[in-house]
Amino acid sequence: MLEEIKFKKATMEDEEAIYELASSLDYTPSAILNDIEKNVFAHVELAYFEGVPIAILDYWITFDSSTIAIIYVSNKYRRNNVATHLLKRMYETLKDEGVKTIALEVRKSNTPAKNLYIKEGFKEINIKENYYADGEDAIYLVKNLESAPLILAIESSCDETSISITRNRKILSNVISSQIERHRKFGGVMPELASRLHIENVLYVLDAALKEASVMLEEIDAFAYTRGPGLVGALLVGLEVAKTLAFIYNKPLIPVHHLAGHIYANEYVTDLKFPLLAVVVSGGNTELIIMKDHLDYQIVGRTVDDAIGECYDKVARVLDLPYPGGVEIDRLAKQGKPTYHLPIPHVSSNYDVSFSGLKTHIINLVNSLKMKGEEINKADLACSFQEVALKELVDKVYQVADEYDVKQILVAGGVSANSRLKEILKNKYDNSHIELFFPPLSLCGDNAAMIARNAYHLYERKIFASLDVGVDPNWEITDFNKF
Amino acid sequence: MSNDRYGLLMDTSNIKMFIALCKNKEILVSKNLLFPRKQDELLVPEIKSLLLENEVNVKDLSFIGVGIGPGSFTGVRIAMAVAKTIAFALNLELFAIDSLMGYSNFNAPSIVIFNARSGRSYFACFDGLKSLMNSRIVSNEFALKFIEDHPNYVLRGDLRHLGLDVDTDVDAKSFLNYVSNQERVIDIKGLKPIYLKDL
Repeated sequence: MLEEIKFKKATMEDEEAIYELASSLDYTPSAILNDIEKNVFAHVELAYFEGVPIAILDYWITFDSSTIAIIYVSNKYRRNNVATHLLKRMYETLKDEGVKTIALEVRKSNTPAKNLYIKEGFKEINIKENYYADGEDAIYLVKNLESAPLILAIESSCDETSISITRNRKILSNVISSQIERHRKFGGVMPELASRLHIENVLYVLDAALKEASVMLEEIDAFAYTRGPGLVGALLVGLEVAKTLAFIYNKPLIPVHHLAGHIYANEYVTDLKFPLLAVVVSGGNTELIIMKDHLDYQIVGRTVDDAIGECYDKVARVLDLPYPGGVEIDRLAKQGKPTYHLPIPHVSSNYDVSFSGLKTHIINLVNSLKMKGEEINKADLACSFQEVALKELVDKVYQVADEYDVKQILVAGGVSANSRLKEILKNKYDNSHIELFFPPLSLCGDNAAMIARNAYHLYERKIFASLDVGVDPNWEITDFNKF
Repeated sequence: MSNDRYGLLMDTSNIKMFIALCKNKEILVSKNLLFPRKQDELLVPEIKSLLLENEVNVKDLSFIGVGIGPGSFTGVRIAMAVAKTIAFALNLELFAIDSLMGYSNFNAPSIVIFNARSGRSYFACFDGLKSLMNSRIVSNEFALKFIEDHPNYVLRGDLRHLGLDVDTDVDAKSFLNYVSNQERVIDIKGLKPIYLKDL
């Protein structure tokens, strides 16, 4: 049943639900609505079952401690772990905020509630006599929370220098210095230039990330960096900075797989539900990955040649579109029609995909049209290309999602920003039993917040490296804990 | 707190990893280690053990001296990333020197050369603090001719690509002397390597 309950942060749109639930509470609806609308310390969570509000949690955060004002589940829905789940959601938020203790009062006669809190790790501190209006005593309970680590992550695998500081799911800063402009004149990323810009920019980015987060290096609990895959010279800059900081402050050093980072960017918008299918699509990678648990990656399909993003960039280049080409093709395709007949790549009966045949066909087509002096309708060609390339990908996504009976599909990597891919997948999965997620646009490209998110899970499992660790430009995600 | 000034010196511009620890004007310990292609992995752990062995905490350092190239592009960036990060994080004084200068002998006129590939050499010539020829890239023929014309100069650096059996270590005392005569780097964040090769 818990599966079908929808949990959400309350907004003023939930006014009706508040009135309905408040009838069974010691609180007036207006007090709760005030918490939702005006009280910056208050957090209100609701649970709905088939459109009916069934539970509420109202808690306050003041600096590093929290108080539960209301936790209530309708009679009919008790013993379904609804309260436990509400508390779990609260713990995550408290971790984001660096809260260390939670306190609450419960009526002495309310044994089921008291038992729930004891099970949740609350300790009885004292009895507050005559606490309630009707004269009943209150039991005062407190739980200490292990606060989530403050993680500083560095991403330098390609053409963005990024440093992020996070606590659990809260991004305190995520500074990205993009080199795109500098690489444009080369029509793509030039590795040595990328390395040079990383070493020139990295401390500016670090300084900005610390200032924006109002954090000092001494406060950081762990230093994470992208170990691969990526450009070796570029990766090395991030490695040395992370290593040096881990050494100076004697804190864990966490190597993170770049693609795992892209997948975990989605964890800023949703809890992961397993099994899930991660569709990793970027300029360097195209992989279909099944995850049955956190940090459990199984590659079920991948490109046998070019990455899809790489194919986009090369087609853009032959059409004389500026770098990065993926964005341009996406934009241009909207103005075109799929009038060009292009070959549909066929790899095999498994879940691998191929893009190089399609790319070669387009390059040859464009060159021969140019030679004949015929006009090329760029918009139509971009549209035709995009339709075929994405069909190649999404057909495999559909098959894998079915075979593994996944609960979620997470799209990850730079190409997750592609509007047509989003549209196709939304058409297929909106209103289905499979949840579809894209990272927020700001986290689609390379960024360090995603590296920090994956590092959080590695931190929990104490997957740390010694100071003699290196980088690996060809690191496989399944080897995420081998370095 | 004592008034001793501890300093850490490093250079990874060439195939060797040079690290040294100094106290005031004295070199306490120095190492020239040969780790082909492993400098990225081993520089920080080597610094850590160097400090440990000498019972100096990284937070007790007052300054860092680093060779910033020319040399292997990747190698130059490794020492620079480490040096810049320590100096930035701990607010230390940072001194940057030309890596060819770092390999020079402070007490004798020196010709310093590294392999720049494709028939060329990184080349410079120093006499103490005087730079007789600034760092530059020259053809190997020029380098050989210059050496022939200046028999009284000591040869420093790595000259094996010229068919000469010279492959010197960094002389820590000379390195420290050069470092001591530099202005400190004011803009630590903005410090850039010397590549001598444009893209």
